[in-house]
Amino acid sequence: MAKTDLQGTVDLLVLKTLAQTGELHGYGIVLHIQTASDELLRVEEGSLYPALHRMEQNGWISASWALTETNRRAKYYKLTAAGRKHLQEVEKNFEQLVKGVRAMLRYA
Amino acid sequence: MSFLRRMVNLASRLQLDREIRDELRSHIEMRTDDNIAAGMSPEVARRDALLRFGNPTAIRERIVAVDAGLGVEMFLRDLRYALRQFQKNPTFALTVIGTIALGIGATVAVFSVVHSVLLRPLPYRQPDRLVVATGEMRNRNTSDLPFSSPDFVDLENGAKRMFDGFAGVRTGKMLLAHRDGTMEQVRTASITTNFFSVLGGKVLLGRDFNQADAPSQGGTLDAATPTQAGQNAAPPAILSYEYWQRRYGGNPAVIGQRLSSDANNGSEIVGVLAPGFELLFPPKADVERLPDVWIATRLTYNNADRKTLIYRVIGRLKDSVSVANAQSEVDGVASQLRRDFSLWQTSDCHIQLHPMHQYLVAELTPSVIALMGAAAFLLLIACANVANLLLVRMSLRERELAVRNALGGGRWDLIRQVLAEAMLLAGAGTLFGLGIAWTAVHELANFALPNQPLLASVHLDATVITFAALFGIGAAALFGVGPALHVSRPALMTVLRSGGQNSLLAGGRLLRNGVVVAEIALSFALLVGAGLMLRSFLKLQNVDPGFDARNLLTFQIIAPQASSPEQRSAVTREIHDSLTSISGVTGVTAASPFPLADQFFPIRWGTEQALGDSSKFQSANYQVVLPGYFETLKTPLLAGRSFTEADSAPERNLVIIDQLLAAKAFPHESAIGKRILIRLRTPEPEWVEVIGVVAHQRDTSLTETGREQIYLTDGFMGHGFATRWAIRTSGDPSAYGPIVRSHITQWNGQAVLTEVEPMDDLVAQAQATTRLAFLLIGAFSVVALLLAALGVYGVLSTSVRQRTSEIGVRMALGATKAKVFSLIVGQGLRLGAAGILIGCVVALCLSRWIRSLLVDTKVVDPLTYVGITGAFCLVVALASWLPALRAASVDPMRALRSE
Repeated sequence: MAKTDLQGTVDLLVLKTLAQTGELHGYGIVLHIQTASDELLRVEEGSLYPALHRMEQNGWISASWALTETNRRAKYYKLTAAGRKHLQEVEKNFEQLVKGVRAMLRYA
Repeated sequence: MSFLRRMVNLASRLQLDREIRDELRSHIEMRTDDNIAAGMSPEVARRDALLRFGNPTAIRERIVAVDAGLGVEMFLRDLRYALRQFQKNPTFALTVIGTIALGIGATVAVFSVVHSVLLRPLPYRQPDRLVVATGEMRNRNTSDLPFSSPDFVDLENGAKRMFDGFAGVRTGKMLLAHRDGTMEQVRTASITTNFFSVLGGKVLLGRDFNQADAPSQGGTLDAATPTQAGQNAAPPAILSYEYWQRRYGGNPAVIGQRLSSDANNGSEIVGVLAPGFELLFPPKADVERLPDVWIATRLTYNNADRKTLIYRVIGRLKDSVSVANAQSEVDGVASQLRRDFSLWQTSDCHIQLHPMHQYLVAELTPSVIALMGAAAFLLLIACANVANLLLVRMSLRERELAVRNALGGGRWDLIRQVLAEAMLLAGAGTLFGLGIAWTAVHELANFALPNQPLLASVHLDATVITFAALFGIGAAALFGVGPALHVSRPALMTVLRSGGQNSLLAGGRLLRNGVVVAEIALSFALLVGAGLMLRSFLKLQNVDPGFDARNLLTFQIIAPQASSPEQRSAVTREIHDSLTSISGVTGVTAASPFPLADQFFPIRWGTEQALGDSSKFQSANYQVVLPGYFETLKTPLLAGRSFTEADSAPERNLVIIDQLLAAKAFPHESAIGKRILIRLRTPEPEWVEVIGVVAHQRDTSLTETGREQIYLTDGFMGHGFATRWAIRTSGDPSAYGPIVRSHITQWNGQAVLTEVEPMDDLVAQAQATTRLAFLLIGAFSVVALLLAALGVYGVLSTSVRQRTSEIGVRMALGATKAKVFSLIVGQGLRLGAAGILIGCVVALCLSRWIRSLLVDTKVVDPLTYVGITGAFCLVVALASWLPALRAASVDPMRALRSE
């Protein structure tokens, strides 16, 4: 079975966000996930930042400090090549999970 | 890779903390900004932002925890766990650490020798371009000859194309009269003016020599009449840094001063060398290592000088020139010289070039490499032993490990645990090993043969310590990985099911036995070597050197040279009387050269037959002595009489010969009254009459009998030749040093007393090589023996554990404790017997290596072999004792029940 869990879901959301927006800071990621999911999903800051740090250590995303449009210093993240590849994998896994769960629910 | 990054994060934890804090703060601030934009008051906006965010500290900790999750902190925990394990069983830990320390200590000590002798570049500029040139007289079977002054000039001119330059040097001693009226003996080096520029010696103060300091007299034979220009002034001198400090207290005002009080004639000091400049030559070249004063030398170009071979020659090759090319160029020079000069032609003299480093270490290389091999072998054995011990220990914990595995401890966890233990042991062992190496190297440098310049500079430096660390890690890997892999694939169910049985130990028994047998064989061979060296050493103590070294004080007296033989004779008599007047002195004499203190030179001698056939001339050492020499040194007079005062005159051609020469020259008759021919004072041989025969003295070495010997009187040589004195004292001779000094000063304030040494010390120095060899081999063999004993212990312990249930069955069936005990000891002895047998063969094969070091001891010495075999049986029995006791105390009921 595909190896998917909650942590994997946060990873998927963050990686997908960065794939869609290019470069973004943590707060921006929270906002993007909220808007893009029609306010259905909310990522807790308490799990976002450890996840960002871990993904940075794994080399999936890279970070650099830059100024926001309101002139605040913020840490901007973007996907690396390895991150892009990992995203494909996670996406595929998630599709399978969804397919599986859905099949399960439909089973009568 | 990500593991590495985690390590880096840990190291820069502070920086990381700050970055995380900044990032979280900017998040909260951005939320606050948005809230304000949405119409909240700043205060409410901020509180809302904080509320939504949660506890920033907690988040920060969770982020950091990502790093700690894997890796280093876990490893530290493993180390702590390992440490606790060792605390529980300190004997095991100490045994293993001791074993590693011995292995690493020996290896590192030997490596530091290898490093300073073979690997470290010579302390000169571009030392790989330096070559030493030596003469080789093929017809006379002598090599490593120095050059004469005109030969040097011809070589320099003839090989210019290939060389940047040639430097010549000869060393000696000189008496300096200081302005305060005192005299001092200094070591001198006479050098060609380009010497420091060829070798790359740095002048700290003042200037280097230049060509004008000592103009060489051209390269043509027209210049054979020496030019007198500049001959009157003494050539300038450069001081060594060490002498400058010692004598002048580092005063820069010495530049421009005269070296001696003789203002007109003394050398002018023009410079001071940078510290630590050494003249490195092998001991056989007899070159001072640390001259005090370097004097510019004037090369002469007289054909008459071609017989005076005095200069050691070092050349610097041009950058693109190979040694082989330079050699063929130099061969051309030599063949020209052979055409031009009869000495070169008749002796078939050639010039040989040697890369300087090779030339220096040629003698040492084989023994150093042998030592290195022995040390590496020792380390391997130490590792094998430790692996064995670790395996035994793992077997004791096999159930624990299996349970941990069953409870979810992953394979990697178990491996890491074993590796952590191995690394801890290796680390501690390496540290102690460094300590051992440091001590050993210190001792070695202390007692290194004073004439081995490269050995004296052995020390532990960064390279050596790095080497030790690498070896430690290598060792840990070597003995850690084996058991770790074993542990990592426990047949879990087998272990849990089988109760006491040890699947771990089942395999590799043959290998372990093999290792132990090899260990015993090696240490046996080493111990045989040590035994032979010990026998030699004892023999050496009892060698009859032909004199009685006890209560004999020797010293050199250098008095201002008197011009006529009569005056010189008077000076000798005055010194003799002055020394005789010291109370407690029972004998006074002088000789030159003196046994064990000076270099001896052979002269040619022959009987009547040699008159017609000059090939009948043979070599013997000669020694010039005062009357009373044999009486003072207590050399037995075997026939005839010894010298009297009246014999000591130039025209009295009387000699005393030793028993060896007497046996050779007059094999079947008495030598007394016979005549022999000697060639010493004159180019032509002259007749001398033998008046006495004495016992042979060992002159240059105690280990070898040495050449035959001819004794001449001081008078025969024109008086004043014998300058090394010896007094026989009642009581400790070294106590007489100050008394002698005050007497000599009283006799003549200008006289210099040097090299005051009891004869016993000279004897000890002559024994140094044998003693060093004995100690080295002894130390190695004791270590090897300890390791072998440990190996036996390890193997037997393993075996006892494996056979516990078998032993239980035996005991249940009626075997007594004694029987079980002897079963295990017997197993140990069988291993021992196999090792000793192989060791015998190895020792016999290796014995030719040691032959040259032995003194009056046969290589196959039955006593040594039997004694060491006995000692080994004892050691093996002792090593079997503990495991055997454990086996004998097996409770049959428990052993059977645990099945």
